[in-house]
Amino acid sequence: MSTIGVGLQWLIATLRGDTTLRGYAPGGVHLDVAPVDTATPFIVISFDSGSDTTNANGVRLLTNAVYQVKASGPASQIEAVDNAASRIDDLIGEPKRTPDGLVIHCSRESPVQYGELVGEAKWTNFGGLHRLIIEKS
Amino acid sequence: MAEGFNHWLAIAEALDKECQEIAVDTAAEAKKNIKQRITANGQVQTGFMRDGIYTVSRKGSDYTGGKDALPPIAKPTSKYAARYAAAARYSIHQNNGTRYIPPRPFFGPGTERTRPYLDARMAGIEEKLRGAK
Repeated sequence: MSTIGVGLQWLIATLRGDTTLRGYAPGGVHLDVAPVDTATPFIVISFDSGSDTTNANGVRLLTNAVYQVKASGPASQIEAVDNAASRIDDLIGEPKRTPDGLVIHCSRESPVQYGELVGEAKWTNFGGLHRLIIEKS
Repeated sequence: MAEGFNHWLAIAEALDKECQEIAVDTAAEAKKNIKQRITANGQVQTGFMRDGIYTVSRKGSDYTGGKDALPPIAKPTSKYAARYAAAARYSIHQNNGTRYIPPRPFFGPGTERTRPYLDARMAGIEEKLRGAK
C-alpha cells in the first residue's frame, strides 16, 4: 500500500473506532465527500499535501503527509459539529507516537473552520490539518 | 592604533538584509507555486482565484482586490516576515471542499513545494556573508 493510503487507513480506523466520536457524528467517517443523505454531522478526511524524506542516496524513508480532517453539518447543529471536531482533536490533534504500525507520528498543524451554503441552508465545517509521519512499508 | 579588526558590522548588516530578502522571496515563491497548483488542478475559469494569490510584507503588498475578494490581510509586524494569502472569497471552498465537492487543495501543496526553496536560501546565507565588506 502507498504511504498516503497507509495514512488514510490509520486515520479512518482511529476515528471509526471511537465510540464517543460516533455519538457526536452519527454520519460516520468518509473519504473526500460524504454520500447524499448521509446523517449529520459527519466526518470527512482528505489528503492535502505532502513531502518525502530521503536518505543521502535518495532512498525514501518517510512521508510527511498532511490530511484535512473535518466535521461537517448544518449550522443548526453547530454544537454537535464542534463537539465532533473537539473529539477529533483529542484523538489525533496532539503530537504522539502511535503505538504500532507505519504511522509513527501525528499532530494537528492548523485549525480549519468555514461555512458554506448548501441549497438555502447554512452549513459549517470544523476541523484541522493533521500531519502524519509515515514509514515506507 | 587599530580602530577595527574585523568586518563584524558589514556581516551583521548583510545578515539583516538577507534575512529580510529571504522572507519576501520565499513568499513570492510560494505564491508562484500555489498559482501553478491551481492551474494544474484545473481550477481556472475566470482566473480570478489564481490571480488573487498575493503577498504582503513590510515592503508592500500586491493585493489587487475585486468584487469577490476578501479584505487584505494585515502587514506582518516583523521585517523578517512575509505572508501570502488567497483573495478570492471562494478559495477556501475550492481548497477544502464543500458538501458536494471534494477538496482540491492548492494552498498546502504550494506551500510544501516551497520548503526546498527556503532550505536552499538558508543554506546560502553563509556564502552571502562572505562577500560582505
